[in-house]
Amino acid sequence: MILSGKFFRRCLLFLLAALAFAFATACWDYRDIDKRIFVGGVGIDKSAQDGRLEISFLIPVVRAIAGGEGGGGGGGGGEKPVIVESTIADTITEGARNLALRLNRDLFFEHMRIVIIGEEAARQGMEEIINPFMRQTEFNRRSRIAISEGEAGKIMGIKTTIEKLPSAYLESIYGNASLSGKFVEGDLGDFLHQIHESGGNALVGKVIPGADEVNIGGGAVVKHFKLAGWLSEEEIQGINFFLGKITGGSITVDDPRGKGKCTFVMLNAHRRLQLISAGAVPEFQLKVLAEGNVVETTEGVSMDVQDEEIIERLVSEKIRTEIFKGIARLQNDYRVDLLKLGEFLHRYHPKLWRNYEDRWEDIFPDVRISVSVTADIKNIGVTK
Amino acid sequence: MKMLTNNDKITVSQTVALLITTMLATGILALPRNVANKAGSDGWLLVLFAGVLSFFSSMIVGALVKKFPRDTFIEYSQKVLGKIPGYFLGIILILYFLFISAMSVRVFSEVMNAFMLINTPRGFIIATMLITSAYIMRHGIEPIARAGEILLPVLVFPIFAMYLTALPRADFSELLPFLDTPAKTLAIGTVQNAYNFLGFEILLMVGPYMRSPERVMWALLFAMGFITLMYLFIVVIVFASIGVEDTRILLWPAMSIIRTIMAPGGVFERLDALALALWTIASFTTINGMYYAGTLAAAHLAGVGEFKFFVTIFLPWVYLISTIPGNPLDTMRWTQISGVAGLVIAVIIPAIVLAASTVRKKGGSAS
Repeated sequence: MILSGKFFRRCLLFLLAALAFAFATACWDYRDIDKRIFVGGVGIDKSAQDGRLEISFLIPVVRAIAGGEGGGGGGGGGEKPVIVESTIADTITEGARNLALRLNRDLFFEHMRIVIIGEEAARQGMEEIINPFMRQTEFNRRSRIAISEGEAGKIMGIKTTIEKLPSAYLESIYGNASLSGKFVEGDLGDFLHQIHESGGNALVGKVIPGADEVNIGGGAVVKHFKLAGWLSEEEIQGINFFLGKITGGSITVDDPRGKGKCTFVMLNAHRRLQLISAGAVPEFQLKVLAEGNVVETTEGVSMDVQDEEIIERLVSEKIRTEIFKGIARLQNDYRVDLLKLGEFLHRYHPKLWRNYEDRWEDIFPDVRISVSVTADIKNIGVTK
Repeated sequence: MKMLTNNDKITVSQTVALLITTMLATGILALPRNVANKAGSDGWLLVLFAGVLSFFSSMIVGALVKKFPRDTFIEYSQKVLGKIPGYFLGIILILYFLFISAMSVRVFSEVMNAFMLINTPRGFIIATMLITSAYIMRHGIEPIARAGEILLPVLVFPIFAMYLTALPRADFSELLPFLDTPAKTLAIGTVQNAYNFLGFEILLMVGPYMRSPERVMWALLFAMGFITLMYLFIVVIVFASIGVEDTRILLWPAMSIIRTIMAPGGVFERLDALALALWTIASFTTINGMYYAGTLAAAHLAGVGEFKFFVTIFLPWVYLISTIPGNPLDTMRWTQISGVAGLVIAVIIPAIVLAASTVRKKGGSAS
């Protein structure tokens, strides 16, 4: 008989194996990589329509990039490496869905590098804008975030020269903390962290659009989920010193003989914050130790031990001034504790913090902070 | 005790592996949030206290295993409390194990749906997982324990390594203020989070299958100590790298931080796939332990030697129970309920049985 035991079993086994193949393809979540669009950046602006947002997606055109780099030269020549698609919607997700009517491929945010929020939109309130970045797992918390002076759409539209992709350019420029302390370094995760820690206050990067480049100097102050204003490059450097975030950058002072300028490049900076007294208003003391090299002096100046001491004094004076500038702006103009003093009290003096907690916003502007800075020259190069 | 067709015995190290892999479940992905909500930056203390508390509670089960080294809970509860109450407790035990299996597989499917298989129907994830579990279970306790033994290092070392990569971002001052929570809150939080250490109650059923039941306390101590350290490590890393406030809002904080870290040197930009693979193994072993204990209980209660039959019979029921919660928030509520049920099953009922057996002088010497 054809249906003898052995044969039947083999047939069954074969059928089961075939079935297993059909089920093992993970078909529901399967998408061809060439059916996807990898969004490099998102820009969010207030739109002309009341209460709605204008959302720009920065989309790399993979074909154009590959063609250009392949050495063909003429091959991919005329094609633009990126396109910017804008749409008006109430939420970011709705915006992405709107694009389904215009683009044949799926928008895919896993590799998003940067989020830029336009000035107007940020002033209106950022709570609902940042929500999807928390809730959805597709947005990764490592992408950068910044607030643009003017429209975010302008930043999305810049034509970069050194990098092919604006999103890669925008992301990596925020990695320059070892070269300069005059911007706010941090990613989406850090930003969300600050926002939740303090109930809506955060220090965010600022970005100014140019013709074919951007400038990320300075920073933006977010208070109660709304953009309150800007901080200058010097003020940001001071605040970075205060927060212990300096890992590089330079300070230029008059040289000891008064003949020209002298540049001090920072290697790193340590800081120590202490609570001195806790009356109606707490008083703090900040000690900063900045270490670095002297890399430039005006021609003809050769240094001796005395000069070194003078330079150290001048540099620490300058740093001190910058720190005070930053503190003054936050205390007097914005009245928002981005120096993390509340957090410091909460962590190290939890019992005291309870007295201040409720009225902290009113207390913070009156908090007294004394600052002492020590600069330490480690190296002076190979000329005397 | 009736001889079962599959009466393989497991060694002490296999028992430890079985206990650890059963306890280690996807619940840990939500644990940092639970403790952060209870005690803020003192949350990690809750993990420590809950671990210690759970070890002492598990000693009750351990004492029962030592006292009745040849019987499962089904038999000795009937010996001690009488036929009918024992039978009744047996049914509750079966229902509990099936319910826990259902909840574990459900939580696993929630995590999968949230982080990787976004469009895959939940039922499909649950069904494939259950069928795989049922397959290994039909071969009896020894393969399950052996799978635990083999998978344990595969599971544990990568988990440690993975979370260690978050260290460069970690800010340990997030753990301050220290001891700022009232003692009462700490005590309540400890009890409320003790359910994360459940899993040792499978010893109620698995006890007589141990080759040397007199060393059950060592097995428990080792397994509990290990799990406590591991949970502590994960909670501290999560707190230090994303902060207590963020931990409070994220549904699965221990999974979300995987997305914020990048392996050193940029070799692997994304560790999500690895993390999900590891948690798949962790859930698989948990479901195995719980489900197996349930079918074993049913076989012993029915007095039949064949437990494989029950593996198949229970499959659709476990599936159905796992589809009860409507959404992730609902699942959270149900896992809380299952935690309470677990404390009753794993601590209170064994305590009653132990007390009764001492009073009525039943069972062997509690050496």
